[in-house]
Amino acid sequence: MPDSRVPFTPTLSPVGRGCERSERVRGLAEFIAVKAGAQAASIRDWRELAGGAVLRHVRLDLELRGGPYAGTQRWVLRANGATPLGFGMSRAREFALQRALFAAGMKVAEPLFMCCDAGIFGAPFYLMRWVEGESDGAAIVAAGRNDALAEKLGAELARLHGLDLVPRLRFLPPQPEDAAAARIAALARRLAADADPHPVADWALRWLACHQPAPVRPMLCHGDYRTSNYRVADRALAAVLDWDFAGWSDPDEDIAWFCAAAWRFGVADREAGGIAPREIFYRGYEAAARRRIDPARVHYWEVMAALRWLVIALMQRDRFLQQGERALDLALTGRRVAESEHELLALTGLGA
Amino acid sequence: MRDRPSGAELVALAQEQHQPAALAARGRAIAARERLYGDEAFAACRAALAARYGAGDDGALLARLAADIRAGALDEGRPERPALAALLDAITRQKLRESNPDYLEAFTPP
Repeated sequence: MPDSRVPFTPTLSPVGRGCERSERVRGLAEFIAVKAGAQAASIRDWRELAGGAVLRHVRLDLELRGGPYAGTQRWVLRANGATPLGFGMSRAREFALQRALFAAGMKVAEPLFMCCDAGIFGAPFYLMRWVEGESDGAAIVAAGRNDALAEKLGAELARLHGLDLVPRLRFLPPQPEDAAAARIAALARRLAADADPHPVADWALRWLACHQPAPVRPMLCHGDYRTSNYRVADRALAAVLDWDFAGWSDPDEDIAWFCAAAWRFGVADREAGGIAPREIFYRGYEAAARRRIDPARVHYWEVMAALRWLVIALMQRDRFLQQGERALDLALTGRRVAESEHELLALTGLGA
Repeated sequence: MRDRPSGAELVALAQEQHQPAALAARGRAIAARERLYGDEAFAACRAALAARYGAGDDGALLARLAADIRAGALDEGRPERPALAALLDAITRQKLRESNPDYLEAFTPP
């Protein structure tokens, strides 16, 4: 286990300053003690994790006295960030979803406790068990080709799509009759509202409207299934993370999103998330799903994926340009729009 | 022709103390490449657009192009499709040369 601990000091604590900060830490420890049925909980170590552009993650090393969680615990706290992106589900819904997935035997971190009281941490949050491993996409891709991982990720995705959780997940938005049409409408709205002209994106919208595949019965989809949103330990899948975009959609959308150029971290020819050729990922999916993947449908959804990432990049950019968040990663994301445009031209047969 | 935020905005942001060094370096590199290529990098694209739509600033020209595309100018069988496709490709490649040349290289088939 890599020791990347940062010694906890009250000045590193959640939100606010000075006394207010240590107040929040005390509040959090009290919340944990009550929820975990412990006589006392102390936060030994506190580490704010980088990488979440929208949500905040804090890794907590805890010492609990008494109750079912007695002893040393390493948990992670997941909370809303400073500026909501404007979509993605609430923490409470995500917590409920993650519980259903964990109960169904999916590879997700065990969710523990939900806190809807924004007074304790400054925003609603939930706690889950920490899963050891690497989730940084660039590092995972740099570790080299990994066929077994890609195959397992394909199989895990097929299992997700095969789950029948409709009765447990009534809080999700209703199943769309036509997932592609719903996506096109949402993306068109966002693009029309943007201050700048985007001729390539307009072309992609037109192409998507002209090439819509026949709708299929929507399945439970992750919505952001890609390298960087899973954790790898000993080169194997440890957990699938970040379920806040999950919902009912066309399962081919998840397959295409995983293979999108944007998530290959520069290794263009390892089309499955930068870790393997896409055939390996497909093989794992097809074996578990007992259905053949139609490459033409995935191609369609890959155009959608490139356009969706373009629109997300514009929204991240606007957190800097319009909402005044002085974060360089958000500003730089605005300059990644050209990558999506390049991909859109290539996928629709217009690139050189 | 370039996307926002501008290189100058990125440099200003990179100067703020709390920014991660790697990101600051990326922001400065984009700005440096913009200066290196200069405004004339898009001159040919600008001229092609102006020939089609008349004089106007970059934003107005791109807005006209986008409206044309929404009206079907890029659809298969349209006579202007090859020229417009080449124009979009040229603009996109130049933007990538400045914002992410590594991506352009990685994702350009040999």
